[in-house]
Amino acid sequence: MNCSEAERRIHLYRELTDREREETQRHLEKCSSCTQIMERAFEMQWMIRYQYPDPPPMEDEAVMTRRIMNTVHELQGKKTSSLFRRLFANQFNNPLRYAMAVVSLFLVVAFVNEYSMGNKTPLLYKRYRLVPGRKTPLNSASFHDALIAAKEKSKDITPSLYDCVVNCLNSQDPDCADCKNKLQNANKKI
Amino acid sequence: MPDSSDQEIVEKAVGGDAKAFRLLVERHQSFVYKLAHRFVGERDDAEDITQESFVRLWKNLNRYRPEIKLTTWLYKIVTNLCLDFSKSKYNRQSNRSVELDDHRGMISAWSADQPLLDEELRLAVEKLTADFSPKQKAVFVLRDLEDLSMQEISEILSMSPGKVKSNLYYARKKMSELIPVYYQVKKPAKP
Repeated sequence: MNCSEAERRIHLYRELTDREREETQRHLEKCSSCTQIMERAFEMQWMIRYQYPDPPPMEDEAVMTRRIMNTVHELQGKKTSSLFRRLFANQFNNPLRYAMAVVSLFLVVAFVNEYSMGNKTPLLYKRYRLVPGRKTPLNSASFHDALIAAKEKSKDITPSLYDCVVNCLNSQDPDCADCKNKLQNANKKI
Repeated sequence: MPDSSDQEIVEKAVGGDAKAFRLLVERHQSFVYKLAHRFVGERDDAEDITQESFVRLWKNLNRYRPEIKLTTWLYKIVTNLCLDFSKSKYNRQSNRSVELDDHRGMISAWSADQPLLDEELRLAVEKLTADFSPKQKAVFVLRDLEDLSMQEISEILSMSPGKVKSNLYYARKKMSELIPVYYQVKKPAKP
């Protein structure tokens, strides 16, 4: 073994196998300069191993715990709102923010309007011609109201046979001439 | 929970139990701080690294494998953070060799008071290791100060055993050549 290899083994003495240590010892018995290197290395390692003090302790462990847990709680909060943040991030040019603002405003106006109109003519329904039975809203009150409104609008609407019969029944007039005429006409068509 | 093992507590913490995680912090923060301080030598930096280590642990809890000890995992996190810290500090320092004349006799201790000697030794070692490369310092701290096995160091640093030995050799060699210069005990003259 040469001195270069011996020096390397000296500094890694703790990590050597038993066989490597024996070989190193045999070299040291013959080489005084390597022995001096060994003494210095051992002295240093002894100092580090047995004399080197532990670092000073933390000033306040409770404060450190609090710092860590505050950060952890912040992270927990961020996790649940990350989708929300991504959609509504505080960016001036985020178009989604403005779109949502417009939709919200429209909905507010629509509901306020509905409320003030007493729900009689819903703003959001498409305005078809108010002919009963044709594309009117499903709301039965609206159907009836549409019928009344249509009747009043055009006074020349001839009451149907059904209307006549209903009216006669209500007025308890079985001999209504109008009803008889209408019935005859209906039979002719059949 | 006080008698629960680390593994049991980690499993609870993985489920989002912050109280369990707090218990982990209280158990291990002292050791993490000590390790960080060995690397960086400054209280404030060591505290920052301690905080960041636990935050990183929290973020990566879902990657925890029961076959690895929690302390080994913490060693890895802390060492990586300290290496990053050391690398940025090492790169900022100019490449200079240690001038023996600048430091000869800088630290000397008259007193036989052991705590003072120990503190002087600590300062001397810190000055010396400041000139080590980050990896040499990491290997030196983990082997000679923390007394971890070569296998553990290899795992923590993701380094082959050969490289670990090589870095350890250079660190110890520098230390043994320069420590007598930095740290001289002047024995009082005999009456």
